Amino acid sequence: MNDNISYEFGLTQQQSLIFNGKVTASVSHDIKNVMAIINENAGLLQDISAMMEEGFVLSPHRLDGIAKKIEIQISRANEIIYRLNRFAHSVDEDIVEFDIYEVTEYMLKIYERIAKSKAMKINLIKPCKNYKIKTNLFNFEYLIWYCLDLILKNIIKETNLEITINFENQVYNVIFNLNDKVLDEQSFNLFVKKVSRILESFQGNLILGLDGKNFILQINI
Amino acid sequence: MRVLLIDDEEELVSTLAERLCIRGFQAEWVTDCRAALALADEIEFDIAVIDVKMPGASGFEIKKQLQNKFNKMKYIFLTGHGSEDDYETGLTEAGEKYYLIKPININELVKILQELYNE
Repeated sequence: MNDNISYEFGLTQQQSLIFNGKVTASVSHDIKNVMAIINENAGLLQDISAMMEEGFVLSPHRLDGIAKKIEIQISRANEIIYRLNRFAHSVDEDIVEFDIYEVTEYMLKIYERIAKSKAMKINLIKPCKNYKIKTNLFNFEYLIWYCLDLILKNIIKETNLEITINFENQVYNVIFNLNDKVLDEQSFNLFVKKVSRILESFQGNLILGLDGKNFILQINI
Repeated sequence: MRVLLIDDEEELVSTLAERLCIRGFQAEWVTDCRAALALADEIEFDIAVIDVKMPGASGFEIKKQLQNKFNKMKYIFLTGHGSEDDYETGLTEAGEKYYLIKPININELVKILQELYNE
């Protein structure tokens, strides 16, 4: 993505780079956790092998159990890398058709570890219909990420977030519902200002609920 | 030596505990701060090995809570990555020697556990 293109669609190159950095840092941490588990299980196999050499008798089921644990982690790593790859390709084309739910879902998966670090539980409700839009995918991912970040930066205790997606009055809505008052008008307005250029590219809007417990990302394309 | 392992990655912490048990340690594991405090009430641990990044409370906060109740317990920190902020805090809280980066070398952990225990 060159500067002109990114600017045209609302993000400066610096903003894009920062966002990329945040995503890759989070994913690399996830991968490192998986590697650490594989490392311990491989080490446990070595420990058991050494014990067997000294006459320790072991049920084959025990070894099978350890191998299965490693398999599960490899499958987990595969999913993490798949999501990273999908994210990496989101800048391939300026305008692309995508499903709002699908993209929100994998962005949530990437964000999951960060959310977990502040005890934020996220539940994304699958809509009955597929809501497909044609726009700049990277910018949409950016908005989803920073909407989550806005919530995370303002929570002070365990928080449940429910996200729903719908299409009403010719507008796509991504609704962020919290179980508690988290957002104040000032921090919300600052956030809206920060992402205003991207919102413009979506002809979109961000609307804070009166009780500070929800907000809506509207996309009008 | 009684060792309490605290990490939210259950598969990691349970396996690490098993490997320490094979090496003669009495190792127990938990995945959150609340469980750590409860278990430490039952068993007098010599050393707690704590992951820095934990849901809700950081490893350093967990240490403070344990320290308030169990003043003889010693601490080793684990981290999944070496971000500079974490590293600085880790050095302050634990010292370079007692701040390990995952994946862990079990022999290194055992050596450090023994050194810390004998301090």
